[in-house]
Amino acid sequence: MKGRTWIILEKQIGLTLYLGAIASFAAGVPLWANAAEFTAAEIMQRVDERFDGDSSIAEVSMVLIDRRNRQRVRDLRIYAKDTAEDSKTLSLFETPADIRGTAYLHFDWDDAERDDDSWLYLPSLQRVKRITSGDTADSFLGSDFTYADINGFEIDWYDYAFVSESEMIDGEESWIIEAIPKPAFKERAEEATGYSKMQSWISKESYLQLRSQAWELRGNRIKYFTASDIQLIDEIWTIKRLQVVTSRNGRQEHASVLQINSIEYNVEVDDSLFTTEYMQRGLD
Amino acid sequence: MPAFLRQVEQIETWLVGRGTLGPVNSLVDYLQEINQSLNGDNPEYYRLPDSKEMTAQFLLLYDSSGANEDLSDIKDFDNRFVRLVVPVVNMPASAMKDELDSIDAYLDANYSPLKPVITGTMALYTIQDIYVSEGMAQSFIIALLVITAFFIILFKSFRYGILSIIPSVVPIILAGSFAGWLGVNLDLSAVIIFAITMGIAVDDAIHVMSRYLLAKDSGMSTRQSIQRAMDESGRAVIFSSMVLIFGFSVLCFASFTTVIFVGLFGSIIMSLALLGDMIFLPAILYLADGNDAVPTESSPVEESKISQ
Repeated sequence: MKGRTWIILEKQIGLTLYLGAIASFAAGVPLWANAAEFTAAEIMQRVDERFDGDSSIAEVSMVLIDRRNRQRVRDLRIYAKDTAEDSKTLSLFETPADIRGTAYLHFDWDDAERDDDSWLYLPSLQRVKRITSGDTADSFLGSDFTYADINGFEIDWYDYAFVSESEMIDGEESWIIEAIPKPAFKERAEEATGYSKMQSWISKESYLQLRSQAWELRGNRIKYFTASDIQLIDEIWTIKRLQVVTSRNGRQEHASVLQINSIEYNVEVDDSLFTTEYMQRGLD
Repeated sequence: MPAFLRQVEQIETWLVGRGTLGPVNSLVDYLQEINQSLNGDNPEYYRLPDSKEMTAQFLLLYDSSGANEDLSDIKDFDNRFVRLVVPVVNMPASAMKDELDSIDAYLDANYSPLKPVITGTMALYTIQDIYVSEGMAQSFIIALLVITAFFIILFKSFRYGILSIIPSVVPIILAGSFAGWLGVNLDLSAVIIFAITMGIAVDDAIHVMSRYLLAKDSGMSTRQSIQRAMDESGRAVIFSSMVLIFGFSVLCFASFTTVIFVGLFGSIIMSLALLGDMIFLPAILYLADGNDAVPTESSPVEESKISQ
């Protein structure tokens, strides 16, 4: 069982980071049961198991913001599909012009022991290069998001505890739940995420993560995740804007924003898209 | 972009070719390495990408492959500026200045449209050293002129004004030469001592000179006037100088070299100034004013007075 970081997605939407990250961050959960009886672990379990669609096509902007508030925007089209228990994502860069057509293909296998696979297609070389994903705690595309933020973490590696059982945030009642690695998994969990602990604000109504905070192991840094612009799209709760701010010693170092400009769920996405051959065809 | 990077590459090649600098590191090296590794590690591809697009895609690849270091220290956020990191061998400020000057001249002559800027602690320290030494030299000359002007006004004589400045300036020149002879590199804080001691040293010269002129005005001969000046101000001058010499020499026990040098050269200059005021100034006055009256005493006055 694999959970998502605070960004908790259903299933590995892999690199769908933006998409997956955002979408499942907010994926709709049946408003069953009286939440009050759940333990913190059960709540996180439910957050993890939400349905976020079997496939999707999204137009996403990734904004990188530096210390002086300068911004750089990259637009991507992201195809995502869950086949059986595996999840595949194809991201195509649309702008800026000089990286247009660059494609990123990512396979996230259900088998936890099997490493993810990823490829990058560079149109200028007309060649597909296989990328070693390396450390999952590494930055994704130079953003403040790490691969682990996007792909999630093993939900069973953590102990959960309530920090608060009722807290109002953005007008919604939520739980605040803290996740600390179990002693037996401490090393693996820290290596996989780069965080010593995490804290999430979970909406009692929608089971969305409205806020999250992650304490980095190095550099006295804390990352603050903020979900906003939440909409119900195709019956799936979708966080359209997800911001992460990295602060060091209390001062903002840099920030990144993932913004879904449009998304369609459960549309026909052919398996042939998720091949290195298709990457080379690129944007039409 | 490729044209720009090619120029950066040329600059880098030139810098490395000088032989005085360590291995240069810049965005160019990263791109060359990426290019080579993308082409089966073929050394032929250790070169810059062919197009702007290829460059941008290489950088994206670098960002995506989970590199340990981002490139924020060698290029700016908007990809408009690059930095070449150039290690240098430790060398004296003057040699460093020549090095920087020739790099600057080369960049100016060949790449002025790129508006290259030399920076970093090495460049800053070198320029700071040069500014401060130039500034010190300038202040020293201005102080000297102002003091001389005051002497001329005070003694109402151009001639005596110039004469009395000599025993204050010569010790400083001697101490500076001494430092050069010892091969001591005086840093900018130690250089301050030359300006400070000049101000103190002229004090004694004023005492001696004003007494001398007073005596001279009352109609005494040169020899008699010198004797009177020594009688009246000699003891005070010697005591005050000794106090200053010992005061400065206390700093020689410091553990910070700059402070040690301030103490050492401060006391050397004050000792030499004392000798100047007690021996050379009377001698200069005697030489300048001559034996204008029949000496009333035959004994060598100055010597006996100095040894008091």
